[in-house]
Amino acid sequence: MTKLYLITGFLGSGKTTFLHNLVRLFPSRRLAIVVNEFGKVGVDGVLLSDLRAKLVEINNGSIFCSCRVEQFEDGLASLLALAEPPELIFVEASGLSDPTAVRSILTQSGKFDSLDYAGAICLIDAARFQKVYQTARVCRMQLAVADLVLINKCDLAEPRQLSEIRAAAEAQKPGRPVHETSFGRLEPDWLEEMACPLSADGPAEIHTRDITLQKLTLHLSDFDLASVEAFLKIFAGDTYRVKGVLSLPEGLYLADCVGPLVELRPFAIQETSPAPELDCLTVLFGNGLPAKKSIRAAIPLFPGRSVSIIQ
Amino acid sequence: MLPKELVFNALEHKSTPRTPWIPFSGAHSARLKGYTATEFLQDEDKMVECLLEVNRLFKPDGLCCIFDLQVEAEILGCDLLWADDGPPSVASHPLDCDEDEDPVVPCECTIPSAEDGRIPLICRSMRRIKEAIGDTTALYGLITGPLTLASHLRGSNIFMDMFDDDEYVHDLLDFCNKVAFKMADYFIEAGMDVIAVVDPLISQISTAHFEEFIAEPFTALFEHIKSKGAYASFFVCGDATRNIEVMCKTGCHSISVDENVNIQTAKAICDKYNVSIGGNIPLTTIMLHGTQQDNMKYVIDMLDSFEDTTGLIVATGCDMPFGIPFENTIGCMQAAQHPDEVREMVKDYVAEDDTDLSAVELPDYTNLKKPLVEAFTLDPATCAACTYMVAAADEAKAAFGDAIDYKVYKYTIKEDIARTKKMGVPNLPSLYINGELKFKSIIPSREELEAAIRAVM
Repeated sequence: MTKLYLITGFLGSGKTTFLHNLVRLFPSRRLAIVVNEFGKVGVDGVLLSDLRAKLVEINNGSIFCSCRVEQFEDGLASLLALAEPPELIFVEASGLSDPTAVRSILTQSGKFDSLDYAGAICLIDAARFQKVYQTARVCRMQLAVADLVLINKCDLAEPRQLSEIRAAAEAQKPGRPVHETSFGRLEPDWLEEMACPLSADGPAEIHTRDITLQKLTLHLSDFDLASVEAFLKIFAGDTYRVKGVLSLPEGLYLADCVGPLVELRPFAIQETSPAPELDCLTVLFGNGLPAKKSIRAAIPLFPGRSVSIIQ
Repeated sequence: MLPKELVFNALEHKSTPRTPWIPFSGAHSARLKGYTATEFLQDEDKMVECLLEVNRLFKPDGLCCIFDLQVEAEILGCDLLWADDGPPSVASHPLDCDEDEDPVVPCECTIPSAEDGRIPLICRSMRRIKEAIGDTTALYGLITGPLTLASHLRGSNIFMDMFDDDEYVHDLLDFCNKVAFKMADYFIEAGMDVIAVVDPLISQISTAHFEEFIAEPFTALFEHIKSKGAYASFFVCGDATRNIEVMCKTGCHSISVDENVNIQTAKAICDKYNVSIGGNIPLTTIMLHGTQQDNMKYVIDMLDSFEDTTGLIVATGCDMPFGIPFENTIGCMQAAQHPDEVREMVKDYVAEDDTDLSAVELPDYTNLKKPLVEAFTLDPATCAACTYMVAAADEAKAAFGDAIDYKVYKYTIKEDIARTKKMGVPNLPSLYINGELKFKSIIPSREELEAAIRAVM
């Protein structure tokens, strides 16, 4: 049997970092990772390619939406059909995905008989939880299906925020394991605490959709490190996430913004990994965030640089 | 002829031994078993129990299994305000945004699946009702029409969009119509014989806008419903008289109207297109506040007003108010199913209008200190047309603040009925400014309403 863990969490909650830590817990096992991104240009696949695991990338939509679910099912089927199928599959769902359908997808009769669904791990960005939980419906759904809740980035949060998150998690599903952590670290025995997910109760809330989620791609040229940082700082607060690899005069940089927090760090392309699409930033937003308006207002402030918006 | 065959024949505009009878008992069904509307709409067993009681007590030839125009909106992110005595109302619009923001067209992957929201519970109830009474009673599944769903998602901005951004309106209606296709599929699979597309807001737009935005999606939707082997019905509330002809051209089997439409006029139009017409027992003045004899007499008078009743369905004007006395609905049922006996019973009955108009004091409109906007409605909490008329007036009040006075009246309250009659309000909803009728059954855009207010400042 192949064991499957679903990793959920809103944009910027630290899923990719967590996945690196998770993989290290299983040094001698055959592993596969299914990574899913809402944007057209996948970045997480590149970031995960250095891991010792077979990688399946599904971009441009949630694996739980009708537009991508077939691709997800095909990806799983192909992994299970390998001569030496993985012993463990980690599925990193898009931060904008509503995973409430996971159980019905994985338990379709005759489709994934060799799969053992171990449950969903939901990562929470401790400092941003309250704002995100109130504005993004999928955040509630991700928490609702979780069998293990990890409150991440606790080093950036107040104790009051942590207790509020614990209360919300407990109210949704009493008795579920909840742990506090930072930098996506986890203890091996936390996984053991996960209850049998297939027999668990369904989500307390009825299944709804978030029709406000939007994405766009920005193509940048002629920026340097200082100007791109200034550019991002103008509108990042009006987005859920901005992510992409930029080719700047200073070298390759990974732009990784979570809400208003802008981060640019040097990036090295691994020889073994697929080349990322350069100078394209995926921008994710919704629920009335005026991202497009802010971007349009920011562009004229950088004469001599070029920004095109691709819907 | 079985009750359901009466309905099917009427829908096909064929003659029937008697006129079929359909009470649109939505949330009102809950009252038959002492439940609240919310309990009824959220619990499969209670829903089935109440609908079977509607079938037993009101003996409908066609039974309305669900009348809740918020099912789709709830799934798509509208917050709902639940009520004990009526269906929920929409309290937030996820696609509402500032004027300088690009409005969003939702991704097609958000179209509700059969597992979303209350769809599973409703479909399970429908299957149980089909099993219990489907052999004899025609079953109606009601879905939200694309324009009303678009309004729920976008808010009253949609009426401005129709003037400013027609491409967006087409795109949003296209999405909402795809939702309607799916909802029709789910309800047909659950055993519904008739899919009624309920779009109250059709009465609030011009014929030109109907032809520009509505005709094409509705025609496709009805074609789809018919291709699945179900009957297709088009429900509207409010004064849709001007749009009856264009509604007939969409290819539906039937149209259902309320008391705002003269049913004799509407039937004459429908007959030209072999479209059946249903209606239009007044929901408040007769059913809610009238006596059993008032109800019997209304139905008999309506039946007798037609030379030929082919294609006619005796129905309540729209979703029945929660508090209607049961005996009034039974009176309508008796009149529809035993017209000769009831005609004899009410032949000498003269309805008394006990509305006390003298108790209503109208403002001195010629000497107002500031402009007075008055919204005369059926009930903004339950009538979608009224909801969005009041939303338009609310926006104007927010824009003008203390510079104007503003009042909302509901036709479910006796005092407000008296005021509405004394003012001579011809249709609901209507907006008056300084005592003058300015918008009758047409929701103004923000600019139109603000201009009308400025004109009297």
